[in-house]
Amino acid sequence: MPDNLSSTRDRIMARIRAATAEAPNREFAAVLASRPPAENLLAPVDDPVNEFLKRARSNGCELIDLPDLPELPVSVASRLPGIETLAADERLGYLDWSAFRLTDNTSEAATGLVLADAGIAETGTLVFTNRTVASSLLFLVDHLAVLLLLSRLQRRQEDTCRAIDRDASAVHLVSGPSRTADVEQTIQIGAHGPRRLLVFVLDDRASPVSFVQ
Amino acid sequence: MSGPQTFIARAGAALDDPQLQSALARARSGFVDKRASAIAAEPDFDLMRDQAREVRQRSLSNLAACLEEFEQQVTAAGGQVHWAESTEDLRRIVIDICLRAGAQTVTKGKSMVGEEAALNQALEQAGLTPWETDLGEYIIQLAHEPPSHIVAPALHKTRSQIADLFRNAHALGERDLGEVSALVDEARAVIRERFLSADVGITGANLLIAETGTAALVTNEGNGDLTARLPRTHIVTTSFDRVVPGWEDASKILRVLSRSATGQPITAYTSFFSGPRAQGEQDGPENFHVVLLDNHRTDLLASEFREMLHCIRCGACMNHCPVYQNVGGHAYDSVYPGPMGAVLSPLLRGYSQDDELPNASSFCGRCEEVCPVRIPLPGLMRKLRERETLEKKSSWLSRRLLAAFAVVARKPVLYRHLTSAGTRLLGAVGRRRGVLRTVPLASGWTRYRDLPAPQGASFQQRWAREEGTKAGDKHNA
Repeated sequence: MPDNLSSTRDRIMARIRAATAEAPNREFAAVLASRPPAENLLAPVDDPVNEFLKRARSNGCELIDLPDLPELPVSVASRLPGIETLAADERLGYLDWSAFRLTDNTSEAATGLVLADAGIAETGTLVFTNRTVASSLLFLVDHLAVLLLLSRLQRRQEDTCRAIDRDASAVHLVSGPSRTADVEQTIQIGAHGPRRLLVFVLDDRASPVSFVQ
Repeated sequence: MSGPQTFIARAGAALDDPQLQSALARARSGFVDKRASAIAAEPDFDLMRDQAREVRQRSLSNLAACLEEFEQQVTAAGGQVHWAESTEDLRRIVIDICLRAGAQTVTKGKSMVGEEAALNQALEQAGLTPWETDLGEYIIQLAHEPPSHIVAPALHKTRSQIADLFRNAHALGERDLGEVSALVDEARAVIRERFLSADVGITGANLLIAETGTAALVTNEGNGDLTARLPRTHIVTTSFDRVVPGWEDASKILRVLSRSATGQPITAYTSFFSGPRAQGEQDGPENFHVVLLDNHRTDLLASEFREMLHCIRCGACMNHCPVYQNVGGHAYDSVYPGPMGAVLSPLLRGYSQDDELPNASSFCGRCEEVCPVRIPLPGLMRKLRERETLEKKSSWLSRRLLAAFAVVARKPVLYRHLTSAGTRLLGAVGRRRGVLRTVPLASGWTRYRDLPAPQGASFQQRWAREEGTKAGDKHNA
């Protein structure tokens, strides 16, 4: 069986090599480096903060300006009245969450609270890796509340993939609540993932925030 | 599906199906308008298309190097790459992984390669229970039908047909399913349980990234992520031509993909999966497999049809195709419908009846115009038509007609006489209304639309007249 499988691979690769006429010993690094020079670049993203806010809003995110970090629990409570159970990012656990019951079980929590690893201005996108946030927390809750620090905002996707831990087994770009148009092309929010996506935006560029990891 | 055997018969049936026509009418404006407004909002869109096309070209000319790197990276991360020469290989590999994992239930995200290989039927025959999780795929699974669109598989279904399918499948008693929200909520509740209990999750991939051994997945519902991350085993079914060298190259493709598909600058979820859960990570599968299908793609790579492998599966060509818009996807009798399918289906499976598909086009050129990676679809269809004629597979009548046209077209005087006589005749008959309701021997056309009546002169006559006027203007100036 293994022999048979490896010969399938070799047959396919031989046909590919015959078709592309690649030099047999070409290093992959040389392929990566053969990317054309960045001369025909897209128009620069001049005002990333406003671009992010504009794009995120049109993606269906609810944006909340957070004056400082300790305000977060109160701000979350006021935006999500009646919410009792919260599955929270452990990096935010040291804040005063006494108004909520915290849980690790994401499938029982209606609300998740997470810190974004990065934001992308170009498309109003939030970035997470499962080194810091469980994928299930992002997708199983009904409401997802995200803390975005403006110091982590990137202009474009290309800048972002250099800034995050892309070796993680899962990197998620989240750009709005879950939606579907599979019934008569009618957009319906809340398909399988969160029905609401709230983004709490904190400007930490002048006074950096640190988290207990 | 067992239905009429020819495209023409299937197209005729589609035109006579009022439910289908009402579903298609809705989709026509939906996709086209959404894409148009997304592109109007993006002044750099043409540059984005050039960049995406460059990535597809460079990826294919360095395909072996990219795939070697991809395989190495997946293996280094603790995953496994499998190679499937045929769809049969793919089915066998996937079933083998499921059985070795002791699986009974399988959640599935949308995978066109999975559809190409008819994976669901094979999983069922092996005693496994496949659960589609994408809403559109779930609807057609309940209807036991193939997809009719590569992005919106249940495009051909109306709301009331979907409500009937749900009543039949879910024993939930009396309830109101009149609203779209009620249907979506019901599917959400039913499928939620399945996400949490499935043994294996199978998804497709929109892209593979060589430098980190990554499968990228684009969805709006979030079903792909729940399928990929919750079960103990994640299997990606895709084809080797999806690979790009690096993350920055992936960005170039993603930028044009969702704008062209659904008119969104980006979909709600774009996720990148690299190997099983690693130490210190929060969650994820224990096993990660990528199955790469060939199924004649290596032949395409070596042929004059290589550009077809640039396709990023956005569906814009079918959304804008006047033929697809009127007959829907099932008329093509392939999981790949519309213009891209008319090129791909004959090349991937080569059924004798597939020769019809490249002929199901008026060559209006809209598909090429909207293709985000500028695939010359009409040109590729023309090459397939040429091949059909050279191999003498087209019908005796169409070859005789073409030969007769060739004779006339090479004799300008005869051509002029015949066309101006025809123009005068049709013009005289249709003068009163400006259109012709019926034309002898052309009921296939006039049954569904009027034939505009020529306005008294042939193109060459009008051209000569216009040129004469212009020359006169120049002379006067």
